[in-house]
Amino acid sequence: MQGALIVTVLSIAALFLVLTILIVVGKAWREFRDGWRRTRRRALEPLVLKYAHGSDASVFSAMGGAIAKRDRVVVEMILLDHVSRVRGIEHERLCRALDELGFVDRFLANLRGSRWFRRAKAAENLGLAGAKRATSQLAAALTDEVPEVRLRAAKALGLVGGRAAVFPLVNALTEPNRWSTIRIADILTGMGGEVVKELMDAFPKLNAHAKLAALDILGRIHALEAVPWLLSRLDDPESNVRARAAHALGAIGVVDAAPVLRKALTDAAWPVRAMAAKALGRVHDLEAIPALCVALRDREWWVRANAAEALKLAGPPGLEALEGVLEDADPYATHQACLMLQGAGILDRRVAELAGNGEMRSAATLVILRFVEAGQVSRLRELAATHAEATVREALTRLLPQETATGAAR
Amino acid sequence: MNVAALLEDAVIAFNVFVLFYFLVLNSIYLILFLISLVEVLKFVRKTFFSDYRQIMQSDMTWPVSVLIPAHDEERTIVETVRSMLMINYGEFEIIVIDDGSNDGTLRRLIDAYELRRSDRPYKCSIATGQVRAVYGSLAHPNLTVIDKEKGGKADALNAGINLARYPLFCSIDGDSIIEDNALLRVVKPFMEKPIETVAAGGIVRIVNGCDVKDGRVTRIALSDRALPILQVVEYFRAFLTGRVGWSSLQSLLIISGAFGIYKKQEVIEIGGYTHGTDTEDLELVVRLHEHMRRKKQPYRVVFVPDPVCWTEAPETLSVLARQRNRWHRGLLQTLWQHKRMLFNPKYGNVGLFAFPYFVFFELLGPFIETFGYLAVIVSYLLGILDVQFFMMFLAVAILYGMFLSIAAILLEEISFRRYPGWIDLTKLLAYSVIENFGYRQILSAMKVKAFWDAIRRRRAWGQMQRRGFRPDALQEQASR
Repeated sequence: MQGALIVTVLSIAALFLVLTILIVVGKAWREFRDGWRRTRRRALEPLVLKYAHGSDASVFSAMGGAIAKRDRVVVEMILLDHVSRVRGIEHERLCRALDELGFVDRFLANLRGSRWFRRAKAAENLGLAGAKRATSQLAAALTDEVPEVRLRAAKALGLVGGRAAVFPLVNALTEPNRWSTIRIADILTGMGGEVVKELMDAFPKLNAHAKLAALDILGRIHALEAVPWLLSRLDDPESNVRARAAHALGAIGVVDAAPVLRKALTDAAWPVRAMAAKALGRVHDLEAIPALCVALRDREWWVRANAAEALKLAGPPGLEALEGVLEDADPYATHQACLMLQGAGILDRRVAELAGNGEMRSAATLVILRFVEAGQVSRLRELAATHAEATVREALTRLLPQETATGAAR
Repeated sequence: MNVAALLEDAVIAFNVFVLFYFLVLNSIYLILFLISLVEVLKFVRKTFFSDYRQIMQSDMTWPVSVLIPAHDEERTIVETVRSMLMINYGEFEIIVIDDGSNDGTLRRLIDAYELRRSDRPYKCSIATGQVRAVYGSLAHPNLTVIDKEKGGKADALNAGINLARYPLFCSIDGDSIIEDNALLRVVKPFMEKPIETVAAGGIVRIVNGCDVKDGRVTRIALSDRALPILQVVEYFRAFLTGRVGWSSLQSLLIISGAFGIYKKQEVIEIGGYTHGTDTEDLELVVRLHEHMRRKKQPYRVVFVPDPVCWTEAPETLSVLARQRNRWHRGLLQTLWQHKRMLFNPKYGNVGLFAFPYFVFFELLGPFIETFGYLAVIVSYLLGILDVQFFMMFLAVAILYGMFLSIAAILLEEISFRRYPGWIDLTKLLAYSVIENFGYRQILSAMKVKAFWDAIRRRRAWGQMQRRGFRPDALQEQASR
């Protein structure tokens, strides 16, 4: 018993001591290593930058010969830091230096390694090094078993660029993981116009969520050349595809798309109607105002909200139409109109007009009364209490109903 | 056999039981630590490859409604909202719910953010107390303030959920500050597994001793006072070993109310936060587990150790006692409400491991610990204290505890390293030893009292005395 006790106490005490030493030594080691690296960096960085901005044929001559083994890690850090920040000839020279010093070969070797974080880091560095010769290996890494490696490889392909990089990336949109799809979509968006043709060509073979991502990408990069193709997607049997195509057309903002988008406002599927309304707001199609007013009576909230927003975006004619909707028999339509007019500052303006005379005052009174009928009186009450002009406060107070307590389910 | 002998036998039996209990408890902690070690290392490596800037800029990142319930938070609310407005995130809205404050919370918000009354629709998906007004901000279109009658934190959060327009909502305490990238980091599990993930929580760290400027923690340091440092060590153990471990076992029962993110639809389906407990955050997560298990739908509740929420810790024993009293009462109420989950295989790991752990070690542990210490004293007074036993008791209760605290500090040092100075590290190491001599025992006694209060149905939120984050607030406090 006594022996067991001593062993137990000593074991726990030893573990305690080992952990304490680990913490202290670990921290000391990290601080020493970082300090040493900072010192070496101060010495080596000017040489690397001299090479980047100069005309030396080889990085070795700029650095005064071969680099000591202990300095390689510091040189690698300097090169990778700077290569991501510069463009043009400096970028090319730094990429060449990474290759010449054998770092690209080492990254390629690490990309075949057994540890996932080494493979991920290698993929990332190959991208930063702009290693076009690594395109096929990076494309192969898109099927790596670890998502982080796949994502790094995708990002690297995006940085390397070129048609050879686009095709595997478009296919990688079929990743089941939403996170990966988002990242790859962002990478393709960053590549700009060079992905448009590949996206349209690959579209029929993509799975459902990749198709939607592809449509979003075309919208985000404002691919004008994709507009006719996107218009034809509005006839797709899949409602999600139609909705995203409408959204993409709105994001591109081409007025030519307006007639087809107006037609889409009557689509059987509400997501398509909602996206068409949103897109019409973005393309500033004044001819769509009557159709958008009709959409304010849609049975789906999102369609009504987007139609109201679109009318607000249409400027004075849209706002005028919204004031007209205040007289609508549909309470949902008037509610949306109230919200938009209030958000656009029209309500405040109308209240200020109560200080005026004649027609202006009558028109303002009419609009305010419509708000009161719709039950949208919070802002009006606030203005009745706080407006700078006493005449406005008095006039407004007369128009408002007597205040009652607000219920929980307002 | 006489009474003295019986008493002696009882005390010895109890001593042996306590010894065994501590051994099991600390061994569970050790297992959790080992699991956490693996998980944290894995997490740190993964985090290295996260492009938060790109995620923030992506149109495809999920929008989030941030809910900030506030009751008498005039000292900190403006700073909290300012820190939230500055976070790095694509699309988000902030909804502050002023839960019937008696101080100038609402007035300070109105003045600071140019609020004006709005007719934004308030859909009553969950019944709440009366909403007096909804305010929108002229300066910040994504800021909304609800003015409602006092109904408690749960009620305030429910009102926020009703007004929230995004599919995810994040609850944040009115006296807390979250780091710039915290929302991006905590939302990541939802992006990775959008169907399964129903809730995620970040780590809560103690702001006492740190410098705060414009709603940002600008310098991280430990407090000069002992009590906050003891809580820092305690939080390390709770978050870095406890929650990481339970999360990897898919059995996380608590997401801190100070910083948690939830799928709105699932929370609405279970009726939102409940008013029946003192710890609505714990109860909500337990209910979510129950709900998802009943639905037989794959799900996960995740703890993410990286996103940081800074919060003020009590600086006096009396405030600490009130806080812990509420926490322990809430634990008892929640476990009692969901007692059907105990050892129930229908609830998987939660029913078979996490729930029993919380009942036998978190809830009842303080009793056994307190009476264990008393039994040692009684044994000594009766002259029956065996030295070997006493040493063993010290080894499993104190030394093992010290080891686990140091292990939690090691986890912090190999992963996040928020306290960069040597002085802070030395303090942490010293306090991981000191906490075992007095602090832990005091906490146990506080929890025993909480249990007693819960049985007597005494309920009080426990007013937390806030110093505020502004430097002048600290001076103001000092001059009182």
